[in-house]
Parts: sequence; structure tokens; C-alpha cells
Amino acid sequence: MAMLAKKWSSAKPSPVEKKSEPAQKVRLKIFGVGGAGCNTVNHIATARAAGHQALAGVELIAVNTDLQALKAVGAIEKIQIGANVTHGLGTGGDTGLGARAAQQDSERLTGAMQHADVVFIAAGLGGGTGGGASPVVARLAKEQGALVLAFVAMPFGFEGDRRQQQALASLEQLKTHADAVICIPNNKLFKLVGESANVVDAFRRCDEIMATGAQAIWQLLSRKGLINLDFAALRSTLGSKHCDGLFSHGEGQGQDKAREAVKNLLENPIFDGGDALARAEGLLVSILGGPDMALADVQHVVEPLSRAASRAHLIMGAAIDEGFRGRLSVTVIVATTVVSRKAVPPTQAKAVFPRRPAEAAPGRGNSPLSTTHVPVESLASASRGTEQKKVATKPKQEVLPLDRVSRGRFEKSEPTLYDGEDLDVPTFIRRGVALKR
Amino acid sequence: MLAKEKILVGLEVGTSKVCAVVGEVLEGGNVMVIGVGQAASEGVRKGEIINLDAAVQSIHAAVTDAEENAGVEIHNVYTSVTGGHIRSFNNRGSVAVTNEEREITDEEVRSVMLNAKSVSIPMDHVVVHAIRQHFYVDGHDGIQNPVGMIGAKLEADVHVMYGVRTRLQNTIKCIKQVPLDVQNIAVSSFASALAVLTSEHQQQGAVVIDMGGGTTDYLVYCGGTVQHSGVLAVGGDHITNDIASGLKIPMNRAEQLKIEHGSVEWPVADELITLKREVGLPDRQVSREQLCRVMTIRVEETLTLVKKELEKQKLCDYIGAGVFITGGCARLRGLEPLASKVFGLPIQIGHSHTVGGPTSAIESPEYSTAIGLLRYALHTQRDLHQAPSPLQRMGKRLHHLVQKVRALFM
Repeated sequence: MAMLAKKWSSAKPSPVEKKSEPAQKVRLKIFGVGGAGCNTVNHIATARAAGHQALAGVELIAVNTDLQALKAVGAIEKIQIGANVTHGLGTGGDTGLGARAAQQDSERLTGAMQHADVVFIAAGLGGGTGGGASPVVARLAKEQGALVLAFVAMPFGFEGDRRQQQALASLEQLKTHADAVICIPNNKLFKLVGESANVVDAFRRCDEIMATGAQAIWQLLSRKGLINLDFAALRSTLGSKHCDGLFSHGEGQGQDKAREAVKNLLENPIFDGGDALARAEGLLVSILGGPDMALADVQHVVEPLSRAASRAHLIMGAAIDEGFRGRLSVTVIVATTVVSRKAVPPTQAKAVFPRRPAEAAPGRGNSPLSTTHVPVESLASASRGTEQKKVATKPKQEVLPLDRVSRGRFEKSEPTLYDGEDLDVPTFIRRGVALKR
Repeated sequence: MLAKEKILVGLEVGTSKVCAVVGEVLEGGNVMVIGVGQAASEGVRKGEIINLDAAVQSIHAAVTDAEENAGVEIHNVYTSVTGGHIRSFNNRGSVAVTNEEREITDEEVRSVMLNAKSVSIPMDHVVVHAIRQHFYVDGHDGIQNPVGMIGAKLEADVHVMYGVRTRLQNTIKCIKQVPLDVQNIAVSSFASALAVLTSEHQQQGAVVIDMGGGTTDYLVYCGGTVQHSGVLAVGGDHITNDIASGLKIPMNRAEQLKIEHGSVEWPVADELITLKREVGLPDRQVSREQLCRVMTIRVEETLTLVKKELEKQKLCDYIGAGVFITGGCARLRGLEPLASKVFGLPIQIGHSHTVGGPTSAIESPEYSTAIGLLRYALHTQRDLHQAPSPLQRMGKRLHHLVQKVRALFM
């Protein structure tokens, strides 16, 4: 992987020769897998058709089992998978079926992936195709030598516990194959769209966010960098920690554009009012501005963020785009420590996922989505391999720490707050240190 | 005969224990510890009282113990206060020298101190200490005693420590219910520093960290004056709570485990510790590695937070004598190397060498606050006698009686 990263960064255009054709140097393909994923790529396609310059030169591919849904997608490349398995219908929420469908059409998928440097997978987890096929797509892309970044939406709370469980299982699978996974916990969108918003609006909003995310990351990787940021940085932030990736984006204009952008960014409900930042392990800040961007602007953006996320390893990049004169766009990717409700439960060897798909080879031929986890023999795969431990049995809603951790003896006393952290909560829980039993 | 000698009593109502130290003022102005009493503390969390009756009982037990050990009757005490509500800052006051000779007298010093103390703190807060740092005469820096000097303007820097009035009053109210008279109060960190640091240490610059049961109090001396202080409401209780939560054992077991097997050395060789349980239940085994890991993470965090505070105040470069750790947590095994790793400074486990007395008392880090109170008492009220009024005596006897009767029925 390190080699790939090198290959990629060497392929990165030098500031001099690059003007406006980033796609010639780095080929990005966005795969929208399943209903939500197709909606996302459709959203991007529509925006592009409407004359939006963002994501120009990026190939969009819609992948779905449901022919009906696929027809609704605009003029982009479409791949219908599992025609023999589902006969053009959906998977009915069966991830096993979704995985089989993708497996069956793996050649077509591989064909579509050819020559891509970066494969971006957009999917909604919880469903059959999104949850089942996207790990397969990720694996295939990985095998093609691309860097794989998944941008996934977790189900809404109202979609039920079963879907949530299924989504978490898929997330685990996806993390095995993708270089980085960024989650959007849909439940937090409620705060964004308001309680009264109807379901259609809420889903559309989610598509929008995913599209913005894709766009922001694309910008981050492709623009001329004042302070360079590459995929290696992205991966080291998100790649191998006992963490979940969160994403937020903010824009500002005019005199106070930097402060405005940060304000918009921090108000994003995903940040739990700063709680997520306080728990952040890694923080990747990407700033995109016009040629008029001042160093002070960069400082105004980074300073409050680094203060809020004091424990985090902060990586930042700044890039210039002609079109952003007088504007500033800030994208933040946060890797947060998972706060589990219980004292971190025991982790078994089978819960350790390998970083390299090649080592997970036993599962390649048969369905990788059978409920048992891929057995792992290698710990040498990553230096931080041990931190990769995930809870194997009965995963809880790790991405949504809605209720609080027990404070034990201090349950009824005034909390001891320090920089937004409740010091009464055992340190090892706040730090996400797994205790073996 | 005894009544003629000056007896001072320092009483610390801590989260895990109440301790009373009786000291005798020697000729030449030194103090000698002549007796120590202690009792397990009930009804105190994070340094503050949450159950008045239980706390009164604990104080009573500790004071009785001290009376027996020292062979004196205790009527007046100096007590320490702590809690997360206590804050501090540095402030400067100034006055114009108006007399004809422009000579600075005690009067000017008094008024400049008053001026420095009159700071705007929230309504419900009250200043506990305003410790003088330096004087300035006409802007000239670093004067320790300006009396007799000539100048037009006198300024003083002070370190102000303040807390929430009602929360401070609770401790005092508790002690009064015993009944005992509270002569004066001191913030724990200040008292501990007085016990642990010699004047040389104060000159060289030193940090005192008092890691007690419920709070971690710290105070920084630089150039002979108090520069910074603070309270972090995290202490030994938190370590125990972390252990209980991490290893899934009850609090009392966790406490026992912490004392008997715990250490903040990491990594340690793994071994299994067998926890005996009541008859009929199988024994449980816990891993010592896990135990020490939980403890290390917590203690390291607490020390790091203190370090952060020092860094914020840009004081790290002024600490020549090192870090003195005292309080019950100073007994943690492996604390010295861990603290040394965190601070990068010489670490000493604080012994109260500034007073005389039996080594058992002086070498125990958990007594340093109470011992420091003796020094504080000596500083503030040099001429105060332990002469109780007859009324007080009666009240106390009566209370003793009530306690005994109560003990009969309980």
C-alpha cells in the first residue's frame, strides 16, 4: 500500500505543469452502489449537467441490482449486477444476495475500474445492494491496484435496529477492503434538516452531503496545493485507527470568510457540538481558497479546530482555485475514538481485520459476506494492527454515541470537565483503549 | 502546664480520610508534631462535603484519635479547603504614597495589599488567599519589602485564590458541628506546599502536586513566590473507579487491588491475581497487566493535565527544584518514573521536612496538607493560644457524651 501511495503521489501533478486538468493525472472513479449510492452519483451528474464545474473529469458509475432504480439515474455509465440472481429486482435487504450479485458481475465491475487511481465508493449501508455489494466493489478495486475510499451513510434510526446491525456488519466488511471509510450517521441529519422534514427531503439531503463530501475530497486530492495534502495523509488519518471517520464541510465568503467557514463547519450536527472534535484522534483539514487567500485565513481556520481537537494528530492542506476568489471552503475529516457504552468488550483474534486484502484471500472465491468473519493469521500487516481490533460480537451503534458512558462512583456528582472532556469517565474508555480479558 | 504551650491543630477533611495533626510551637518559631489522628472519611466526594452528618462523624473520630495520641484537648483547628470550584489568578494593586517624606510605611503596604485583593470575582465567590509576590516602587521591579523605601507609587503583585462561598462554608459548618472552632482556612495546595517546600525550593522554583483521594491540587513557586495554583477534581477515587469499571469488580475490591497490587509502571509482566470471594462463589482472576494499564493511563492523564496548566502559564522553565508529589496517591508504585517522563523534571515524593516530629507522620505524604496547616497557622496567627472558653469546653463534653450514648445504641 505504501508503494501505491508513492506511485500516487508521484503521479500528482507538479504545481507548475498543472493548470486545470487534474483528471489527466489522477483518475478518479466514483461508484455509486445500491439505491443511495446511485442517488448520490445521480446528484453529482445532475449538478454537473447544470454547469457545475466541480468534479469535472471524474467518471461516475452507477451500480445496482434494481433495474428500475438504475433507469431513473441520468446519463452516466450504469452497471446492472446480479441479473441472474435478482432478475432485475432489488435484493430486498439481503446483503448476501447483494454480495452474490456483485460477485457474479465482477468482471464487468473490474472492467469499469480499469486505469483508475482512486476509486470512490458511495453507498448507503443497511440495504442489500449498498451493504452487500460495496465491500465486493471495494475488494475488486483494491485488487486492481486503486486506492479505495468509501463514503457511506448509516441508516436512519427509524429504519430499525435490524438494518442498523446489518449496516454495522457491512461497515466492518468494508473497512477490511477500503483504505479509508467515512461514515455519515444519518440520524444526525435530523438536526440538519429539522424534525418536520419529510423522508424524501431527508434522503435528498443525505445525497447532497455525500456529493459534497466526494467533491471536497476530490478537490483535496487534485488541486494545486500550497500546502500539499495527499492520499497518504488521508489514509494515515483514517486508515488504521480504532476510529470512525466523520466529515464536515463549510464555506465562507467576503471579508470574514475564514471565520464564517469555520463557524458553518462547526455547526454541523455531526460534530455533536464539539464533542466529536474533543474525541478526535486524527484531524485532516483541507482548505480551498482563491488566489487572494491570506495566510491569516489559514490560521483563522486551523487555530479554532486544533484548539477544539487538542489531542488529535492534525494534518492540513491548503489549495488554490481560480474560481474561489473571495470564497473559502473548508473540509474536515475527523477520525474519532469510538466510545463504547460498555468497558471495551473483549476482542477476539477473529475480530482483527487484515489491512491487505491479499491476506484475506481465503474468502475471495466464496461469498465474502457470509456472517462469519474472515479469519486472520497475520498481525504483521500493519504496525498499528492491534488497534484495528473491533468488536466482533453484537456490534453496538458505534457511530452514534447517543447515550452516555457510566460514570460509576461519580454518577451523581458534578462532572469534572476539562476542555469538553468529562474526566469522571474512565480514561481508558475516553481513549478507546481496549482491555483484553 | 501544658496549657501554656502553644498548641496548633491542622485538620484536613479529605475525600478518603480525615486527618488531624497536633503540633506544638517550639521556641524559635518552629513546630513539632506531637500527635496525629485519622479516620476514614465518609460523605466527601472530590474534596467537598455531600453528606454533612457522615462527615461530622468522621471528623469527630479523627479529632478524638488525635487528642488521644497527643494527650491534649482540641478546641480550635485550622482547616484546609479544596474542590474543583477553587480558582486562582495573579493581580496587581497600586497606591500613591502621599505622606510628605514619600516614605513607604506599613500603612501603605496594607493599603496596597487591600487594593490588590479587591478584584472583581463573581458575586458568589470569595477570596481565600491573596499571597503577595513582589512589590514595585515607582515601577522598580522585584522588591520584597518596601517598608522604609522612598517612592511615589507603590504597587504589589498578588496571587489570588478564590472559591464559591457556600461550598467553602460547608466544610467549616461541618467542623463547627463537631463542635470545634475554625481559626482559619487555607487552600490545600498552599498548605501542602508549606509543608513540603523549604525556602530554598521556593526560591529555585518548584511544583507541588497534592494527589489526594478526590482532587489533585497543584501550586507553583517561582523565585520565592506563589506564581500559579489550581485544583483538578480528579484523584485516587478516579483511579479506583476506573479499575472497578475496567475490571468489572466492586469499588472496595478495586481499592484493595489498587493498594495491594497496583502500580503505574507500564509495561509490567503479566500475572494473574486471584480475588478471593465469599464462601460458595468461585474465585476470580484478574490480570495485573490490565490493572496497571488502567491505572497508568489515568495517572498519566492527570499529570499531563497539570503539566498543560504549567505550560499555559509558561512556567516550565522556571522550575529548578523539581516536582514534589504528595498526598495519598504519592504512594502509588512507579509514580516517580512516570511523573519524570511526563514532566521531564526531577521528581520527589514529598515529605514534610519543614516541621519536626515523629518520622511516621513526617514521611507520610498523606499528612502533608494537615502538617502544612500548622505552618500556615504559625505564619498567620503567631500569638494565638489554644485557650478554650468554658462554654466551649462544656459544649464539647456534652457532645462527647452524646456520641458515646449514640454509640451504645448503634
